[in-house]
Amino acid sequence: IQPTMNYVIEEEAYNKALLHCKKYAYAAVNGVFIGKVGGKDGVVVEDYVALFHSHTLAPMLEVALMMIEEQCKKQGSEIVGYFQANELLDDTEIGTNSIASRVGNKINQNASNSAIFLFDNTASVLKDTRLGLRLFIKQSESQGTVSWKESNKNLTPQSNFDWRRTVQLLTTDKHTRLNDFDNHLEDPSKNFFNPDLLK
Amino acid sequence: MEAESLEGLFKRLNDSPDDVALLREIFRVLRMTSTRYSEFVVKNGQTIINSLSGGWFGPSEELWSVIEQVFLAALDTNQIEVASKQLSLMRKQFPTSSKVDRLTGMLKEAEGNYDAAEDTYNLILARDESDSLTRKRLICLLKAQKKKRPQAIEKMNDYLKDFQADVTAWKELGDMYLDEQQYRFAGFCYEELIAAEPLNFHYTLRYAEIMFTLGEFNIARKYFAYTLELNPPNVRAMYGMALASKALNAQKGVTANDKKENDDILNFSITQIKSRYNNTPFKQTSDAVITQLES
Repeated sequence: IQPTMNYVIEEEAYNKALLHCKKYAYAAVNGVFIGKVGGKDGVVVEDYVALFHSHTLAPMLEVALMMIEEQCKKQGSEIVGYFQANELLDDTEIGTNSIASRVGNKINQNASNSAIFLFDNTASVLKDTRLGLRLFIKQSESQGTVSWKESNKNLTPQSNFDWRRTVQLLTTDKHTRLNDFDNHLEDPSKNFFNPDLLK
Repeated sequence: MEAESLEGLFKRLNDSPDDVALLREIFRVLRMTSTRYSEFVVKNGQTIINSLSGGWFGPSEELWSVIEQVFLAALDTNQIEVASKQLSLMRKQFPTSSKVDRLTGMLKEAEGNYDAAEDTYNLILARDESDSLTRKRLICLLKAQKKKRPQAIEKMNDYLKDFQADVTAWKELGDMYLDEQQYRFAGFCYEELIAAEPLNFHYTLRYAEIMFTLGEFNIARKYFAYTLELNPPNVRAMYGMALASKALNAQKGVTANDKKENDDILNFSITQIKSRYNNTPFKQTSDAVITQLES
């Protein structure tokens, strides 16, 4: 039996994911976490690539993943997770045969340590200064289909996580400057990796 | 290209933030294009309302459009008090209006009070059962709750039996099917949309992507091509044509003639993508994707 991986999420990745949620608060949003596997921390989630705020359909998802894999190769990192924030307040599952499980499966084929991160709609992130993220890790796999198990204790914020910075970012209009892949497809000069967004 | 003119207008507003006429123009464009930009609307709405409330000609039609716009934006950003204030103004001015009744229902929806909202809407419909906007709000109530999604879809289908020409309803139904990964049914809805508005590239594009997701690469490619004809700079359609061509080449039983045609279309798409990315900082990453497409 493989020991369960621990996932440590860094500020850059977390803040970008939340800004994506804020920019399209009325929609479902999703994206991909990239980072590094191995070392004492297990999986380190370093960055977030915002994908869609519209319905995720096959062709553009394929293009996005191609571009992200290319970028990862250049940086020496890999895809470590799929992130999703559901549209409806009472939608608290990743679902079976849903977008989350399908994309999670697809990513897991090439990145066996990748997980699904679901935004907890009911969390008061700023008030409670807790992540409000639910972690789903691979429990087993059969014929290419992964079954996912919730395991929130395996997810922690980086050790010197600056919550004040998160609060500050979420209370300004920084989110209007984030670009996701949908934005990029409309105007290719928009960089959906948002390298300088949080500088 | 209203979206571009909005970006231009915002740039100008950045340079002259006190220009109320410019602000009014932005609000007008937001209304015309149904663009969702609610924090901005709530933040700046009062400035316009103040400027329109007095003056030589008294309150105008534009004033009430802006008040309604601020009301809806305040619901969107969970600023219930602001919304209530606008609602009171509208109620006072239009005491018997069923639109104001419907907006009252929407306020209750925003508060999560779905039962009270449903009662409000049913009262309106009791007076006028042909009020399609209110009928649709009843469907929205269901759509807002994940557990009631199947009912929302059922009611929307019922509605469309009575109002077959309602394009926004077909789109809403199509999107609900997409939420449930029911791609065939979503496809039917988008076919209705394309029949209703054959020159609207948003519909042809979405239809192409749905067909691609279903593995119908030939149909997908036709509609990507059609989208490109309607909207030449459309990057999604360019990628779609390339991916569909590649997928068709990988299918069993593809003839040499087919393969030649698929390669021609693939190369055409790649040329389009290259020129679209040409002066962007993204050229390197797109080149890598192109290499993958060509392999």
